[in-house]
Amino acid sequence: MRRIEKSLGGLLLLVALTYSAQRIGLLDLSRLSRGFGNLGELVYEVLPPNPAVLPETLMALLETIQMALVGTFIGFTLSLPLSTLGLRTIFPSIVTVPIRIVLSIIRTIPALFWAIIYVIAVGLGPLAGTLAIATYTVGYLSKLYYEAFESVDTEILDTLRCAGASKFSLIRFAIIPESMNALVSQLLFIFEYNIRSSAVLGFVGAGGVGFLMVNFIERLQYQSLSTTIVSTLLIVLFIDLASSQIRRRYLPQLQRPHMVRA
Amino acid sequence: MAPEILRIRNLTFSYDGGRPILNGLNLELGEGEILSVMGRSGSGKTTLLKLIAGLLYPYDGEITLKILKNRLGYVPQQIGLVSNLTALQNVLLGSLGRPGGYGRILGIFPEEEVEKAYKLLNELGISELADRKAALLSGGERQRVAVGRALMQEPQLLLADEFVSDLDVFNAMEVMKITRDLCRRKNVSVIMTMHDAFLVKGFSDRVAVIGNGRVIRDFPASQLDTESLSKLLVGDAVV
Repeated sequence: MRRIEKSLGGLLLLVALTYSAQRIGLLDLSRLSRGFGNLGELVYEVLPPNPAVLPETLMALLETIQMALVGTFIGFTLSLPLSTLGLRTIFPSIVTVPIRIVLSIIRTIPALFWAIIYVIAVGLGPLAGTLAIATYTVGYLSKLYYEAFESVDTEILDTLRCAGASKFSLIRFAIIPESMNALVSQLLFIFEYNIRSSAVLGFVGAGGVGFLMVNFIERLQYQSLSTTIVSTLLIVLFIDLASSQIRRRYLPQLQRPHMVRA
Repeated sequence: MAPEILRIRNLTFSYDGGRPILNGLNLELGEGEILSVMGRSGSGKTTLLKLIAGLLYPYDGEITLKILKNRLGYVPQQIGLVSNLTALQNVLLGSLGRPGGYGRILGIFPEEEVEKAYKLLNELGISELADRKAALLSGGERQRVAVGRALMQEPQLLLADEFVSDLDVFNAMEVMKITRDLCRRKNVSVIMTMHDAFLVKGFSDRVAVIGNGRVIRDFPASQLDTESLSKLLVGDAVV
């Protein structure tokens, strides 16, 4: 009986997969081969990159980095109080549940959608992108932070409660210092993520290098486009590397044991 | 007889409504007295300390503490130091119940508190470690810092939960001796949970043995002998 059930399940999965592949055009071989041809043509058209647009590209990239930097900073500043309000080890559920629901809603909406919302609200440009990044950062960083905060040893909190520490003191003198490594490491992680994310936000008009890329695509200037793609790739790669190097210092499991002088 | 500082009557407590871990427990403690609570693992020793400290509730029965507000020091089993703070900063945390001014938000404690913390570190024999992060301290040093933090509260009652159980016997004796001498000098009453009969006998005034959720024997520490203790806890003389 169980064997028949298994075979039937396998068959159903196969049918569902084939149907879905056919619906999205994956079984249309002539279209696929045409696509590969087009790709070849695109590669031919984007090469060599156009160095004339390099200054313009670098300015746009600078704007992207600024968006990520300011957005991450605003998000970080807001996520600290919000994540502490979501702490079940400190506050009652009447406070933590609504906070966690709001943060969850913020996280559910992708950064790109937030960018569209802010483009409608404040118009095209980097301001919309920065606000989108800040909002998304609040949602994500707050969750990462309250999880890190909640993993702080409850015995530390118990001893300080006995000493008469207020809720604020518990957060200020126990939870934040004890989670400092996680705080810095996750802040750098979200900054790396925001650099990549802000490059894409320009596609919906939220400023930065993405905005420039869309302009080049619309004007069919593929060689200029390749200049922006390669520059973006190099800059993002560099920031990723630098950030992960700094981040390693704050991740205990990645630290090498070191000698302590007596 | 010294004036009573703690009186417990018919204390009953269970976690999540299950089988009571403490069931009608009675206990008293005099001012300046050092009491060791012994019992098998899971007998409710830690629970008793947490109930006295006000960290667990609700409970049935009565716990009467005759001490001033914030004057109860607690040293938990895993010590509970903030590993990213220095030894001095950890000791200073014991003063959080007292007014500290706006500077404390920035981590600047009043000068007299800092002096007091330095003095305590000195008395505990670890003044040279004041600026070392707790994460880099050895087991015995961490224990001393935890005792310093509790004493920084100027406690009338100190609760210590198996706080030397992770130390070798020499370190454990050293920490116990320092703690006992400081508590005697400052007239601090102490309740500590402990497994080691040798340490209990050497450093306590009285012993209370817990079994079946209540105190099954309460006697002067000088009368403690391992044979009767093992009979009491294991039901047979195993030593």
